[in-house]
Amino acid sequence: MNDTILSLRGVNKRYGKTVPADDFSIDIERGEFFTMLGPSGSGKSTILRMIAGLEQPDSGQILFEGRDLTHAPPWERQLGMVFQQYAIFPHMNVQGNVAYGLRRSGLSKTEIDARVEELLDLVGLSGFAPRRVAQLSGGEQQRVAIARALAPRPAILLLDEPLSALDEKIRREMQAELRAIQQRTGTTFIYVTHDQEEALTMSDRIAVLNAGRYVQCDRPEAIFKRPRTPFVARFFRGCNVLEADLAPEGAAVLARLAGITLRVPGQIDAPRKGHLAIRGETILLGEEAAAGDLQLSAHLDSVTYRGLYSSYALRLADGQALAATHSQQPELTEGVEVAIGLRAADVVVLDEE
Amino acid sequence: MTRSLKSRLSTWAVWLFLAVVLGFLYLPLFPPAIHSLQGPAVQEGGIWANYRAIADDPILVGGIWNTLLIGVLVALVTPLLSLLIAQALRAWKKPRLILGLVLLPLFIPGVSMGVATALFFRILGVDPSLLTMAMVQVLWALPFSTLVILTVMANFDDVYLEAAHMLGANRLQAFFEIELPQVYQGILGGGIFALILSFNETIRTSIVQGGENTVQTYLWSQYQQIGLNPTLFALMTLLIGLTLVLVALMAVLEMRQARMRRAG
Repeated sequence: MNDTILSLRGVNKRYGKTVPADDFSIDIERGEFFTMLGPSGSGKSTILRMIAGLEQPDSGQILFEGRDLTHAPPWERQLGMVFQQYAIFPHMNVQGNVAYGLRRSGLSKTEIDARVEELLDLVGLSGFAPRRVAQLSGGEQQRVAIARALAPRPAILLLDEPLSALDEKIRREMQAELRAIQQRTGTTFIYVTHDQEEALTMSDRIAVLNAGRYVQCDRPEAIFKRPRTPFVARFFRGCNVLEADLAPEGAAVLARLAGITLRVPGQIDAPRKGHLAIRGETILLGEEAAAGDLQLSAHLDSVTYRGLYSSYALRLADGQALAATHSQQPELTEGVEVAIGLRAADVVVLDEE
Repeated sequence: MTRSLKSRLSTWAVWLFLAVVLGFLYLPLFPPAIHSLQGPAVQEGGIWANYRAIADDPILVGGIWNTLLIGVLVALVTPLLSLLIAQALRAWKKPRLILGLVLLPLFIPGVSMGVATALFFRILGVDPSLLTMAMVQVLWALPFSTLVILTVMANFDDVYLEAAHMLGANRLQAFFEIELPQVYQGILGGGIFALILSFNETIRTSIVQGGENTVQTYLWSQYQQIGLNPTLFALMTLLIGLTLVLVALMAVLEMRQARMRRAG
């Protein structure tokens, strides 16, 4: 697919010392669920607000289907937006809220009513039209906000941390529903979040942002398994980032870690100090260690039972900490040396930022 | 035992102190009311005689009409100007300095403000009239009404406007369809505040009054030149009562606004 619906070209934005967008360029495909993931202050919300027209870039261009929208006011962009604070109009009922974007559409009252009911149905709130806002829970208000934003059939729906004010259980339900709504309507979603799990669950593509730039942009599985830099690796829970001395060797890299040399896949130009990423669940422990093609040993500091899995706090000979997770809970004693096995394919040589 | 006695005593002391303060604040309001029910006219024409006499004094009746006319004008113009100021303060995002400039007239002594305005009108060639009186009062009420409206607008989250913009509403549509319905009670409050201030303003108004009188300027000149009579006490009592009713109305609006916020 190469059907770009929205392009950002060299967008810059600066507020004093913070730089929410630093020469930021990106292409978003029609119909995809695109997520901008980053810690607070990474610029993700400001970039979304510039797409919406609620903020102006200092320089650069925003193109919608090839048209330059950079300086168009938000009400002329025909994009939808869902806010973290829901922003349901308190002086209108549910019907009034969902119908608000249709007021200037030229539709008749009957057509508007039908569209409102269709959307309330889509978000699982059939029959809620006459309800007052004060009678709605947080989750219901956010569903109304989604219905309201989708009612005028925007080509793109912008979502600014829409689930972060909701509690855990409702958030998980809504993740699945948002994905389903996106696929059913075929609307392009641009989603902003700081929650890695949310990004992985819903997205077609994720851009990981740091200080107004994107560090990596890829499919969720690729980002999760093969982070490009230490920043991305540390952003995903359960990933170990270890310092190592790296040297090129043909089509591979020799990594010297805790006094042992490991041959791992990768490509570097010259010997350098660098970082390796190893996901906790790929580490083989104790008797299983022999199944790995790289062998190390480590001191087992502690074992924590976490229900579905146990986590093992390990320490390598050079003092670097390593966290492993294992669902079978192998019988290991705290405070002893244990054998560690790694598969070369699970070790990622990171680029430096 | 001693402890509970001590705490009970201190509770009584606090209530007593509160009663003294409230007495000091509100007792002076009663003598005019009492005077308004006394005097020779009451013995002949019954208890409300002094109140009926208000209607027989053509100057006083004219003053009442002027007061109402100016009051309505001030109550309409002031909150609208305040609303414009408040909107500009939000749009410019540099409210401190400009807000300071708007509030400064509060601290200028009334006589100075009145004289300065009178001179200004004379330089412009504007003769004293009901209009100049209304203008002086608008200047006086503007800072108060602006503060009332700013407070209400501070409770209004801009995200509602952003949501409206994303749904196709331009600035004007978003203001009338989304913001105004949520803040109108504050604007009403600003208007009532301006009305109260207009009814009560004397010094600034008397300097630019020319040939016209409001109830207050009339009362003030009578008090200074002749002394008060029972009819004027009746009028004062009515004014005090009306002011209290308006204040109560403002409080009710404030409470309703707060309840709406909680519901929203």
